[in-house]
Amino acid sequence: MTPPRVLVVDDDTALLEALPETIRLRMPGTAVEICASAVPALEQIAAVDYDAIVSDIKMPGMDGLTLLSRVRALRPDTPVLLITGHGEHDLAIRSLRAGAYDYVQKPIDREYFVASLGRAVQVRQLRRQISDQQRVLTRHAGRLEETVQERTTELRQTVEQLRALTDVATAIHGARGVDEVLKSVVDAACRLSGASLAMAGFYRGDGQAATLADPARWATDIAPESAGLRIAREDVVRIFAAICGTERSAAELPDTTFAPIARASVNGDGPWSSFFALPVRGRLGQPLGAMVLARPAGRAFTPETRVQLEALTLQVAVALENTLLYERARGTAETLQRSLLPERLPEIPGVVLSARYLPGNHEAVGGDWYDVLTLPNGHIGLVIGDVAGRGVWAAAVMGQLRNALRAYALEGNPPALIAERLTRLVDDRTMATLVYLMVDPETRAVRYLNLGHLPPLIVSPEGVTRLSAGAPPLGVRGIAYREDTATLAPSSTIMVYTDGLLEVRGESIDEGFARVTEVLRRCGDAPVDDLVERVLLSALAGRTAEDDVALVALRLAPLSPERLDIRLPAVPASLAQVRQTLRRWLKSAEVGPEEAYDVMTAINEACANSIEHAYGPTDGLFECEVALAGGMLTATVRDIGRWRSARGQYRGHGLKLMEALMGEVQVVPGPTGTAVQMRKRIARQGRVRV
Amino acid sequence: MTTAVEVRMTEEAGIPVAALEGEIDLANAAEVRSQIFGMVSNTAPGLVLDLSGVTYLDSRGVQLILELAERLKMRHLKFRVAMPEKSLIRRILLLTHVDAVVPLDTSVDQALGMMREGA
Repeated sequence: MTPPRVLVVDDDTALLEALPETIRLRMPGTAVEICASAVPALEQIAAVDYDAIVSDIKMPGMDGLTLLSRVRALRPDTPVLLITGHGEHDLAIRSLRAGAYDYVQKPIDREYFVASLGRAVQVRQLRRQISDQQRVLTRHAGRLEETVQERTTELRQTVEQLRALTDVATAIHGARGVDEVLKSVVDAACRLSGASLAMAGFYRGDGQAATLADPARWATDIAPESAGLRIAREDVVRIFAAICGTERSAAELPDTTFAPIARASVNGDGPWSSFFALPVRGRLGQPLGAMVLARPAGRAFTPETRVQLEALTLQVAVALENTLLYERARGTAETLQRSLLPERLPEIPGVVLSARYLPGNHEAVGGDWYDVLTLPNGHIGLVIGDVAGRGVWAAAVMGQLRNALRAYALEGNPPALIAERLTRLVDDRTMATLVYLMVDPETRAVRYLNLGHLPPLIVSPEGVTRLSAGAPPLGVRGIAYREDTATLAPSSTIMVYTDGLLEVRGESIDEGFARVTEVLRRCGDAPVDDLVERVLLSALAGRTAEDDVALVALRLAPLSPERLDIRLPAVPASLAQVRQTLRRWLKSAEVGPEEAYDVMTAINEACANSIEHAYGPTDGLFECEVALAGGMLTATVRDIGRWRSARGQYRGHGLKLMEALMGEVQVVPGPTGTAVQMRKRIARQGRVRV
Repeated sequence: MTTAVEVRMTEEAGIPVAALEGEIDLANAAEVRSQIFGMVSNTAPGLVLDLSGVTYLDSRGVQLILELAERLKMRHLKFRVAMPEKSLIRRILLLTHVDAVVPLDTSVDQALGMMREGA
């Protein structure tokens, strides 16, 4: 506690000496100041915060009571003691009413005076102490609150940044192909950094200066997309090449590097003067690409943003490397598919097919294969097989088996007979597994034989089941083969596959089954292509590098009674399939048998014409659209993709027959071929539809 | 998927009978025609074409029958076509007026009887 300070005001010089003397003696340590009149006293009071003031009431000029009221206004907390003459009780009372702390009557009782003044000083000092402490507390509380607010803001920003980074990672890793990765990168970079211009490039090359500067080696993307943005691609690639060429950090690059883009403007934004450039490098440090971000003058990138962008480039590097691996694998697969696997899957109404072949990470070709055939009776033949061993020998055996099976199957032979014939074909060295399924799309009956292969999986609305019956692998002698049968629920999907799908690193075969079954159960009603993709992806991550994966899915989709689309190669052999499909569709559309026969014959007639016209050295296609609405059946048949001059078509009986059977026939020549349009009112439907 | 047809040649009391079974369209009409042409000798009185087992026949099938009729006529041979009354392909032959050129019978026996009577 600081030593108390007291001011004594009196025009009586005797008292002005005696009182301070008394105070110094009786209250040691107290600093006493004196003043002979009220006006200069007020000045002093304004300058110094006294602990107490003692004043005579009767003074020339300003009296004690006036001084009291001024002090009350100026320093309301400072106690004032007034000195009154002997017996001046009413003055004493007035002074107390005016706010004096106490009054002392003349002649002054020193005991009383000192006690009163001491109390006043004590109270004053205590109050001051309390208010000081309160001030400190308030200040401290304020600071605390500020700190909490700062921390909360920081935390919120961190959470937002983390969320942004997670979103970015999801977008980047979900992207398919290099272009999509780049697109999501520039979007993400703009979002993360507030940059108003972002460019990202992907580089395919060996990292040599010549290829780095070659625009043909670069895929690029710039955000925001704008027609107003005029930056030459060559300039952008030159900048990317410079970034990739830096030893340690792109920060070493002089500002002139970015000169070609500094002046460009987009959406009224720009020119830019703050640049941030980052190389994207692969696991081995090889250049994969580069990124440049720009902001207008005076808005530099903060250190936090830089750190985030560096994290982003790591994500981008991983995504690009994965994309490359995937593309490379797919490229090899495509080559293999072209030579040994079906060039394209047959298009059969009511049947949706999807197949994938992913070769293992090895140089030798494996012995996996699949095949899909349209059988003479309109059923579908589905084959998947695996020849043990690899290399040219396995591939040759596979090619042999595939062709033999094709031939036997296309003759319409049942599964057991095919198996028997294939057994005669293979020698002692050969061990192969295969499944052959014959599927009737109309009755959904399946006849099949499994020679030691993994069981086909059936996905239906009820769940996922396995067709587990079977015989030993091909190559085991003396087996009397017997086919197995099953009937599928409507909209079922059959999936056949080779062991690469299940034999994933660290998984038992049961775990592999559980994984695939789970994907099928979860995505069973997804489009067949997506389903196949998802099953494949579930195996891809942990796939044993050497294993091939072949996968075929077949879904039986109910035919729409309102509409049928057929698209087939323009060869005479397609006609039987057109009839088969039409019979099935007309039956499902509940068209009576005689009218169905007429419609089938007329449409087939038009298809035969289309085939004759399109028939040539290249693969032509023809299509047939049939619709039934409000008792009116319309059919359009056209050849597509090839033009051929009219060649006496519809001569003789064809057109006559179509007219007689349908009622209304129009032949419309077009730029790419001829279309035949037919209409027929369907009188008798098998059942009245409500 | 290919169009399946089977051609069976038999002889009933000196009259050759060609029985077709299956479907006839653009994919196989030419082959069927050459098979039948090669099997009819000039010494035979004529030919009975049995279409009872044919489930589908389009304008190429009609063309085939008309060409056959023309060839046989040039060789002064008789020609009759048989199929059940309710056969769906009979309708196709009537719509294309094949019956104006070739007599249509309802069975092979009827066709043979008519041919023996000189028709």
